[in-house]
Amino acid sequence: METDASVSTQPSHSPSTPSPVVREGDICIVDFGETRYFLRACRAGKDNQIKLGQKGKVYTTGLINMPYGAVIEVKNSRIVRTEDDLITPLLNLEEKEEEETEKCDNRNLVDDNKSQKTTMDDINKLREEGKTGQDIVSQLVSNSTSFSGKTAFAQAKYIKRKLKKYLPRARVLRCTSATVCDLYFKKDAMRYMSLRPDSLAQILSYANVYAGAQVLTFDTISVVTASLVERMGGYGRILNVFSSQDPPHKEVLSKFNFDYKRLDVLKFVSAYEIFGEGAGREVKDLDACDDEKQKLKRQGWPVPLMEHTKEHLQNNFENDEKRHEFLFKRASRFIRKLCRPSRDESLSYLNKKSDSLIISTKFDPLPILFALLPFLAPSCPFVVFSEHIEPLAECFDKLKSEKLAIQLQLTETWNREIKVMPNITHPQMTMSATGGYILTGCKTSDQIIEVEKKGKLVGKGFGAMRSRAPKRKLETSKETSDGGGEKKK
Amino acid sequence: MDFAKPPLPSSGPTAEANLKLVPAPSTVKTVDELNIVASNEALIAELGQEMEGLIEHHIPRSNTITPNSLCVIFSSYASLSFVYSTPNSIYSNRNGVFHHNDFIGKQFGVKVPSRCSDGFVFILRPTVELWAHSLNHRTQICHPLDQSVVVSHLYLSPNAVVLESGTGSGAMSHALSRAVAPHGKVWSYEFNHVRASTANVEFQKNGVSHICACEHRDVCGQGFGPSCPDGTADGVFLDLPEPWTATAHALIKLKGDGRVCSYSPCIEQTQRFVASLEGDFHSVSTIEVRLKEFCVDTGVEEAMEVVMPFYYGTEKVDKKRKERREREEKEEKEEKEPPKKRIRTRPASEMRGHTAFLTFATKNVPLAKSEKK
Repeated sequence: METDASVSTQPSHSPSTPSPVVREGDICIVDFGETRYFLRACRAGKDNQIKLGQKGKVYTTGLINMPYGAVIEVKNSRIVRTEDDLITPLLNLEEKEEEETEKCDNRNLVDDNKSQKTTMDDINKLREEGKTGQDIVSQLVSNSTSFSGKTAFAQAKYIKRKLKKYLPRARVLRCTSATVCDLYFKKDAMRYMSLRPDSLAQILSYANVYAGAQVLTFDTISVVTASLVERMGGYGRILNVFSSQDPPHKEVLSKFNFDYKRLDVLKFVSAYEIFGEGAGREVKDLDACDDEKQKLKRQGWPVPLMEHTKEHLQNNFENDEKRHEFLFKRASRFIRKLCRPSRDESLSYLNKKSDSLIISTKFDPLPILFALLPFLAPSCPFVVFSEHIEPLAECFDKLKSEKLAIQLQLTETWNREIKVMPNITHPQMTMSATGGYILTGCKTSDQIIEVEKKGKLVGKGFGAMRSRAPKRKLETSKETSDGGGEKKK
Repeated sequence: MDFAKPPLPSSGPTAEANLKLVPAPSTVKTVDELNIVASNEALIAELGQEMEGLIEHHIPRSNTITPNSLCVIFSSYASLSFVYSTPNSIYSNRNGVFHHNDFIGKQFGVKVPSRCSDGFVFILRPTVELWAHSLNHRTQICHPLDQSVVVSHLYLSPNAVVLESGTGSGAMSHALSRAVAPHGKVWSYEFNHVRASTANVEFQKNGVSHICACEHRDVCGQGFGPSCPDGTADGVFLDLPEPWTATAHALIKLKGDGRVCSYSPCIEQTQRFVASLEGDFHSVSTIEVRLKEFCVDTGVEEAMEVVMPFYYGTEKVDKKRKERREREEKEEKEEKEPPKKRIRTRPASEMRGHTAFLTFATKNVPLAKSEKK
């Protein structure tokens, strides 16, 4: 199939660079600090209102053409970009007594909940008057008796906390593998098998994923597949073996706003078709399936309507709009069927051997690994990700005892966030305890090299040398000295 | 390395399906005409506007070891080195003496026995990670874990443009090149001219020089130079002793919403760098990642035989108990299955305690003039 013609030039197939703004229909992440949401930018419609903070329902229309990285707020039930682009806007505090020399601490603090003189009613009144969040927070600060006694950092922290409440602002972030994985991990780590962004980064790197490679995966976390599509950039092929009824990952893939050029690298391979039991019967059915695709192709495009379809259209639909909807769905179904590789094509992809293998699944990885390993080319890396260490230890042991792989490494990552500020830099008080376990290795070739051994063996183990070793007269190459050095841990 | 080779076009199921937009009739009356309109709309919805020429591109894998190919030599875990295969030459290490002629023409991943001992090595196809393990350290290198996190948090994708300073031993340059291949660009700068030229020779030899180029330049003093036009870089990676002096230079080269990363071993460097970001960057975060390795032990756990002595009871009871115990033991022995092999893990006794603090930040997007007040 490969047409070994000329080397491809860039313009013919270079996927468009990511858009700097949110386009209509795109999904972006709206980051409120502690909470993050996926939002789809779309025109005002019946049910695309969303609830943001305490500001009530808003349309996401304001997100269209919003540059990524901008700070937004809700004004008059509309999402708008802020003027200063700051998550924590500056306050015009009335009193600015600079008493920095005096050292502040909490020796005089009485925690009796009486230091704030503003009451809830006052705040509601201010709100009714139409005062902005900034004004309310300024009011709170000037009416707090303990505020002036705080250190500068504590004051900043107080203002930040109050602003978050009275003036919720958010930043628009691009959906990338790192941001999406981070959102999922913080939202519900258990559901995504504790896949932390740094673990995902390692899976992609250790598996040697690059644009143009063929990657074989068995993935039930979806984020891994979506990140693969992102990393491939429209070149190469991802063979995604799946065991469910329908091709998975639809929801997560939609978050990345991929165009078809990028998504086309993802080929779904049904595990049942390739590895299923009772293969004989299945093959027969699937041959029929292949025939169906051929038949569809022969019919040409657009696929002409059969007599019974026409009758169905005439009798069972009220108007042309409904008929149009039916025909649209029918055509989409045919397109998907035509663009999907048939079983034979999938098999030929598999038999070409893949450049890397990634397994990230809630199922026992051992049988999956050993079923897919034959389809990995020798000297190619594989990565198995799991939430638990035991299944990976079993894989490790079996690979080692059967001498199928080298450079085996079973690891966990420790990831610590650090708050960097002048004079008070410190690690965050809480940190994630696990990001999952990763097993990596490199498959060996079963090719055997026979060499003529000279001399009689003297000594034991690796140090054993032949007694009449050939004299080192042969010129030692330059590279030998290059590569020989540097033994590191 | 394979990732740097040009992707070759080939047809795929989508191209073979030969789907095209059909000129729609001016007025829609029959169902057939309606079908044409609906099919065209479905095509655009499924495949986008440019549905023609959806050709696949693949990079063919180098399966066999040819003369002059870069080979990573695996002697044992944590002991990797490399050679460029040359006919009639010899590589030797403590595992033995290996003739290049023995493995040239064979598959990558092959086990090569020594000619003069019972030792062996494996010859592996180079990858960025294996290269990082095997290369000659001219400086402290950025390890695969840090590399992967940097590439991921810089949001790099194929065809992106990224700046790097300094090049050092070139481990990170290879990782960045893999992320931006096939048509992206890594502009790397190094202030030591010997290291800069050595790095360029290596890029040439490893076939990545069309993606990654190293220039001898002091970024802190002179800025990033004209190779990369201002405002076009997607990411900047700084591995410098004084990263804060390069912040302003990075700012000029970065796109709006571009990412910057600083790799600093010391917290004081990180603090000064973070302070320099104030105003021009947002979403500043500093992390530290460590790799914790596990050993897998297999074997049979030895069970301790506990025999409880009987201190009390009459002789009669004791006798009965003794009998019962003996009977039970006998039965147990008969039933006893062969001891089962158990797989256990334990953390490796030593780990790398620190490499560097990684600071990431995003460049602010300038406000359009109409939005300013």
